[in-house]
Amino acid sequence: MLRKKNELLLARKVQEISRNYEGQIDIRQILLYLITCISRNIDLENILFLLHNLNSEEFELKESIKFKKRFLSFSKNEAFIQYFFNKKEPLILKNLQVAYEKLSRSSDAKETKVSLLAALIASLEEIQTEIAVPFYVDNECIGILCVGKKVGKVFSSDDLFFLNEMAIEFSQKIYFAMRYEEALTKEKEITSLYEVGKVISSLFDFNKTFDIIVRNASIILKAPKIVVLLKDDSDNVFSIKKEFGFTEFQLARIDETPKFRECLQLSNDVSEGILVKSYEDNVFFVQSFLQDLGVYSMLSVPLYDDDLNIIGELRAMRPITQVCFTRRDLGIASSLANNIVLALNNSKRYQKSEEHLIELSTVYNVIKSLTSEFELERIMERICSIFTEELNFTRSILYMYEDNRYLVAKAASRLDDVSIESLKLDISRTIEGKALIEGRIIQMSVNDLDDYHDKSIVNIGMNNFVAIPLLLSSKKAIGVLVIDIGQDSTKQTNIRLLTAIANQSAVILENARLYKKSEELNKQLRIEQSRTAKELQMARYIQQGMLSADLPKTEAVKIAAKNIPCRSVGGDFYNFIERPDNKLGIVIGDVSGKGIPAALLMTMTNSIFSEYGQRYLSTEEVLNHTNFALQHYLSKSPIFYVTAFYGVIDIEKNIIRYCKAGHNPPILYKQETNEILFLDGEGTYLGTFDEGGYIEKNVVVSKGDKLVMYTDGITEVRNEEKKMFTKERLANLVKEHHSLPVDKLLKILIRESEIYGGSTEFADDITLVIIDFDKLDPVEEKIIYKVDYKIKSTLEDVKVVIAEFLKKLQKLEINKRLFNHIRLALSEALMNAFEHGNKKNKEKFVYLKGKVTDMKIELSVIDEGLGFDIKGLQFYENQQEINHRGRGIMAMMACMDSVKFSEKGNILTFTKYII
Amino acid sequence: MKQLIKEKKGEVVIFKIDGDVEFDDSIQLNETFSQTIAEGSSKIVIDLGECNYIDSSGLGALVEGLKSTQKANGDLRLAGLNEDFKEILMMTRIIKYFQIFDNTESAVSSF
Repeated sequence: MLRKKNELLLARKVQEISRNYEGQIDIRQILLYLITCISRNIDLENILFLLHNLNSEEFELKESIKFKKRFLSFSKNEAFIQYFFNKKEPLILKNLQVAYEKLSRSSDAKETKVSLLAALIASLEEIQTEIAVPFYVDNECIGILCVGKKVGKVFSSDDLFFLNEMAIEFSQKIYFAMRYEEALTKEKEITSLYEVGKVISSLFDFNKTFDIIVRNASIILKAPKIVVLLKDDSDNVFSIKKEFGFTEFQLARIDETPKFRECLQLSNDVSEGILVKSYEDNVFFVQSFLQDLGVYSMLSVPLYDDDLNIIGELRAMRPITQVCFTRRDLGIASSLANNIVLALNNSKRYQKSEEHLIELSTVYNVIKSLTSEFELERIMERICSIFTEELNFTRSILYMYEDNRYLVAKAASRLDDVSIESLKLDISRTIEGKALIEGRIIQMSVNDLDDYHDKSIVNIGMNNFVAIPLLLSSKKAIGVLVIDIGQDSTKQTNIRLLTAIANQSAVILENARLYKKSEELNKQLRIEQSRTAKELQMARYIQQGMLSADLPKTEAVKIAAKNIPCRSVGGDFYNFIERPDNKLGIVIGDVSGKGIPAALLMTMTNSIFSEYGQRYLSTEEVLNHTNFALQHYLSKSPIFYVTAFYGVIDIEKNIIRYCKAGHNPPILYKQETNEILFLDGEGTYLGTFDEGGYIEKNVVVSKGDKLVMYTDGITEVRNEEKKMFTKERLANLVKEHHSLPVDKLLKILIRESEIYGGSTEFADDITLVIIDFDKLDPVEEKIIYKVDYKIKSTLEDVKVVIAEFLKKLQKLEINKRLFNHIRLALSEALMNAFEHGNKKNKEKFVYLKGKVTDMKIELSVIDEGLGFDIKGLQFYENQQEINHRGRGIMAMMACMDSVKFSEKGNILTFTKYII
Repeated sequence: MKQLIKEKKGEVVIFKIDGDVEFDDSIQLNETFSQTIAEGSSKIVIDLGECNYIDSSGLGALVEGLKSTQKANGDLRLAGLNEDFKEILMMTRIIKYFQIFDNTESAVSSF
């Protein structure tokens, strides 16, 4: 049970640590916080965290304290990592070493097992790790916490419990941060690619470059008119790609003349270029056509690719007003052609990169638009509409994977006549499920769907579709996107683009889902916290109300009381009970634990005292019944128990009757003698043991005396050196300030404890109740008879005196139990004196002196021996090696109201009140 | 102590203490226990039904008896204690050493 209490405390501490994290969703911040908190709670030689890197699939050192290396990674194949794929329990080096020792000595041990153990030990030793605790999310190991040696100590089971609790508490947080970081990296990557692409495109824009080349060609060749023809890759047909220097009319003429748009080189089977100096040389075109174009002289050179295939033609033309082209011009044109080919090649490369850029920019825009959404539902809708609105697909549906078996439609675009609520697909029976399970894109026509029982896709009315799994980088599929590609079953889809968008969507969806989950948890937590806070406030209000209810007003005594709970509510209590016999009952107590459970127990105990304090008149009875009642309610749980001191003040007889249940002894300051009495007594704490052993005691008070009752909160206040305040220090303060009014005395005691502890915040509940016996009238005590015996040290003589004394006492008709107590005390004292004091020496005497009054019996036993050391008795009690005489003295102390030894030890005085 | 009545049930010896135990009664108890153990009976039940008072020397004898019987692989168990007697055991803090039973029958059958 005690363990459970520890675990409860530890679990609460872990919760507190987790709640107190105030950083951002940043993996490093969280990990640093985690390991710092752990090393604050356990003094470690070193600590580090290995995080699963989803991209490299390795476990990498992410954060560490006092670890020598800065870079470290384990591949998934290493035994140390593999171990955690199968088992969720922590690896403990010590246990591994023991197992290894055992196995390596045994002859029939499997070699694989021995070598596995050796590998695990080697890995742990390499990273100076004593305990490796795995962090899990959804059965996936996301990281390993590696804890080094505990400074100067061995790990306790509490430590292990604490580490495990931390792992459970922080796994989800770390996972969320990992995902968040992944999304951020992805977004960054794509943004930069897009930006670079834009720059490249401005440098390599083919059209611009081509323009420049053509203009330059026109200048270099002194030709105002230029045409460039190029072969189309797909159909091998030549066409004019660029024309320069023609009027609208001339362009129209060109359009009407197919021959002009053919490649002259190919149609005339030449390869070295063509030079038409003038109309006279022209064998290619109708002269009137050339005249219409304003062309007199013309040259043409082929454009070759790397394999010397003709892929185009550069044609330059001059009007009649210019000189004719020469061979030299043809040479110039040929080198120009080479430049054009170069530009062309660039353009082809550029075209590819431009396509890629478009993809990138699409993905970029998709992510941009998705990350601007925070609501999961809106993100799902947005994903669907990207496919229809931006990528121009007919329809789209988004399914999410649920319950380990189904794909449930969550959003759709342009799916007007179908309600998506009805779409729930069994993954083992549908093509969408197949895409999910196999993690690959499937493009299909519904006509090929024979293998699947469930063809809800047909009902939706799709003919050809693509099913794209939504994969996280861990290859885990979280859903499927289905896209309608219309009637054309041969339609080419850009798989790369779809995959990219689907993957990005998956990451964003997962993040949103985690975010939503954590938001919901936080919200719930906040609601609970604020409710708890409100409830606590109420509880505090009720409790303080109960404690600070009007103090009883009496002429004879003045009372001050204060309770300072260290949390909102506390476990200390006090209560004043106005009894039917007009005597005042006072209880002070402390229940185990703190906070709400303690407050409940305190309230219950307090009301039990209220009830029993009125029902039973003797303090013993009150404690016995309270003990019984608490046992009944608490089922004797060792976690819950109550210490209490219960006293009844009789201001007619100037006496306090009291009984103690494991509580700190109250301080009674006696003004007459300026001394301090601690009101100690027998009896264990309430609620656990059948027999509490409560014995009522009495103490006389007189005018000016002060009774200070307290709980251990104040005596256990610690100073800087961790030394306690102690009841002796408290008693001395009472003595010092005894003349002050109770309210002031109380303030001073609290202030002194604050000064001692160096803080106004206490670690435990503080309770003080002070009673000032202000106006007590002296009580007259009548002596009934005096006692004076001189006894020979023989057993017979002792026996005779005891018998005589008891016979006389019997006439007073005191109750049998009290009679037995006196009998016990008297015979123990006399036997002690005779046996140990006088060592049975018949020459020596034992004296019995004292008096019996109407209030008390007070007897002194005096021997003629050497006396004895009372401290020795206490020593033996602590050692549990006590002889029966020692026990006799203990019994006397338990049942007499007061037992005192003279300094020498040979006079023993004991008192018992009989009123 | 008026009387010490010995009774045997199987291998268990029952001592019924009649009257209060005080002064030198402990000597008789000590001797009786040693003798019983010497005779080979180390399982003892003390019937305290008729005993209201015991002083510390009497308790000393009970504790000695407990130690000797346990050394001989037996035990000394108490039966039929009244509240006052129980209180003395508690005040002297030796109640925890003994196994205590409501009556002799249950004490005997506990062996």
